Amino acid sequence: MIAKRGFVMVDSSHSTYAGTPRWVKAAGIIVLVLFALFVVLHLTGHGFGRHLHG
Amino acid sequence: MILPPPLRKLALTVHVASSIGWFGAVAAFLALAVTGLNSHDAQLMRAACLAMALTTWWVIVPLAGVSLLSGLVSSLGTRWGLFRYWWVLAKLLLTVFSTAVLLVHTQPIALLASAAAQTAEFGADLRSAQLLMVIASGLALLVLLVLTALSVYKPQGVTRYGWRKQREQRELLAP
Repeated sequence: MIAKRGFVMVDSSHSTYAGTPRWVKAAGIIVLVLFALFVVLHLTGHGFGRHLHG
Repeated sequence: MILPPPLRKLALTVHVASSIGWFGAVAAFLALAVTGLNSHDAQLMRAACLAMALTTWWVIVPLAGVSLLSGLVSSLGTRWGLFRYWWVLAKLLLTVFSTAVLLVHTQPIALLASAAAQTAEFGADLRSAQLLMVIASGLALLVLLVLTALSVYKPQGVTRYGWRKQREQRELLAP
């Protein structure tokens, strides 16, 4: 049963942490893939990491 | 510390205004970057580069800073907190990351503007930097859109820390 007291959602049935939400895991995977892609592009010289030097 | 409602609303107003302003300024920057990259008119190209530098230093960087700081105040001053909900934490990480990347990119922007002020012809290096500006600002717009969506949809999910805090509050409220 879930009851709301003020701001706090009181759920008497959840005695343990429900875990990381699916959307967070998906976002984390996307970020990791993009970061890996960035690193690979950078190391192979195809990336846009080269900036102008003054 | 929970802020009183008038201060909460003020912090939220500043945060929303600066965040949307940041989005709009980056969109304007993208338009300038695309113009600078595609134009065959040397004067227009140089003007776009100079305008990009001015927009960055006088609009984008200040708005990014205000958005980050007001976001911190808005979360820490309310029961949302900074680390209790995944959507707040995601916004914090994305905003910090975006601000850091923005500050890194001020160097090539300044060099482009300096080159534009001194020369009429852009070599391969400068064209490459112009392309970088288009891609970077396009990606920045995407990230800022994600930030806006997170603020509106507030996807569910508390962090382990948030769950512990909720449990502590439950125990305080329990008869």
